[in-house]
Amino acid sequence: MLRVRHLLIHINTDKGVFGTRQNFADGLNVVRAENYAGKSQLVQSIMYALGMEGMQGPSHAVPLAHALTDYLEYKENGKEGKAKVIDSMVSVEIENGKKQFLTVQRAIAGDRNKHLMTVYEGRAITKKEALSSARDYYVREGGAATNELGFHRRLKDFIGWDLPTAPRFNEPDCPLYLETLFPLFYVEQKLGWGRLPARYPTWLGIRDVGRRTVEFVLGLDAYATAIERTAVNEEIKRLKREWSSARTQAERSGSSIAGIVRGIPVEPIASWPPEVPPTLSVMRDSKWVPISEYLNGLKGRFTELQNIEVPSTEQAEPKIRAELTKLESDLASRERAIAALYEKFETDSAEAEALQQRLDTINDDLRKYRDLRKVRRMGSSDGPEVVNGHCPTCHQDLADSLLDTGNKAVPMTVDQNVSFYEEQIQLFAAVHGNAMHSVQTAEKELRAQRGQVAELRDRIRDIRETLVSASSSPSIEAISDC
Amino acid sequence: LIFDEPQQQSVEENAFREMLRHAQGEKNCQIIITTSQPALLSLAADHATDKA
Repeated sequence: MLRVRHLLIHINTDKGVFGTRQNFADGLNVVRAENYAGKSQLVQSIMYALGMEGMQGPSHAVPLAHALTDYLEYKENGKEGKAKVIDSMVSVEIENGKKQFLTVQRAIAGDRNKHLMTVYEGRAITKKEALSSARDYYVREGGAATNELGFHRRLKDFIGWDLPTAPRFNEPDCPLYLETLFPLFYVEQKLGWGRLPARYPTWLGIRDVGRRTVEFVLGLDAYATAIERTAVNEEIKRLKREWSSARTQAERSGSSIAGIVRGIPVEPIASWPPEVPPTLSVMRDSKWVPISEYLNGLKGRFTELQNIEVPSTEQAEPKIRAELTKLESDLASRERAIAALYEKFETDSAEAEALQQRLDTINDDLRKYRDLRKVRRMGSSDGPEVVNGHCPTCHQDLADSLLDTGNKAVPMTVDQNVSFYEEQIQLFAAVHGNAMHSVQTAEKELRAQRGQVAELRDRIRDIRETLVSASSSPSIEAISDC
Repeated sequence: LIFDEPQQQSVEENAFREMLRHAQGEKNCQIIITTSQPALLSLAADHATDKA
């Protein structure tokens, strides 16, 4: 719910200060005046103060008449005069359903950037109760509906609207912008409600904008649509989970033969196989060999072995004792290698995770500083919340010293902070990429080594069985090799 | 809900007046109407401003 409580227009001219004030109550409010007295300017000023002029089109020009932007005509002691506007400003006090107030102030004419909105957390016109809480926001710029310092994000939170996501023609989905909803609440003089479809801002590129806004405002199918959308999203997530699980299963199957599976797409695809089909390779003599090549080798070896007479245990003993010693030594060495690899894998994983957390934090800080830079470039003098003595997370007062240190030092400017964080992100992203590469390499190597250790153990077991069997019986080791 | 000079929209007068009467009794909303017609003031005597 949104109520306009008070409107103040302040026009500073070369002939003095002009302007108007207007209170608005609940229920019906009628403002009567003769034609050309400025009634339309009054209500359009409210829309402008809320940053809603984008609902009339993409133009960034101030959509108000010359009396507010250029010159005004007045009568004084029966004499007509003309005053040049030096600067002008509109302020509105608004109230939400929780009886909270907000005062929004925006420049109409003058040097101050017209995309900058100063917001007071209370009634700054009628009560002067929130003058110390001023914070600058922006409108008519990218991020105004989504970023922390975007005014329309602040306004929709204040109203208490949970805006649905809307698909666009050629761009990613976006929130249903406030500029698309306000035409339903503002029946302006020229077009009225009779030509409502013509008044929806199509320049924002939202598909079926009229249907979506009416659905949202009247609460028609919006809920059912939201539920359906959630169900579809859940189905997509389920399919992705299944795909990921099947992919992991394939990788595990590969690792059970000391192999690796390559080329299965990370995300599900609609047709199978992909253009570059997945491959399964096994490690032989520290090299990855395609499974087909490995199988051909095995088949050749099988043919060879078929033509060899199986020796008895007694005949094979000297040879297999020597081989047992060698295999046991090899096993011990591989187990040491696995222990070292595992330690490396754990260290790399912990490092990658820590780097990811650091990157997330830096990205969050960067977004806040970019927002701040945006309003600073528009002329705001707001500082980062932490510099203002407020915790940027919980917004409580933050005393950084027990003693009054006078003016607090600002170690870096906002621009320097943005550059610093951008560099930090580049640096940490590169380090994180390397860490992830190390983790993946260690993981693959670990799987391959474990597979080879399993094979070694099988072979050692066969040899030991051969050594404890009757001397005239065929060598189990030789048969096992077959 | 803001109406800027609604009677310039060729509204049906009786329907419009009925809407105003309904709006006047409805406190759980806010309707702002600008008009040049003095007759409308009598319908919203509590919250009417004559800027003429």
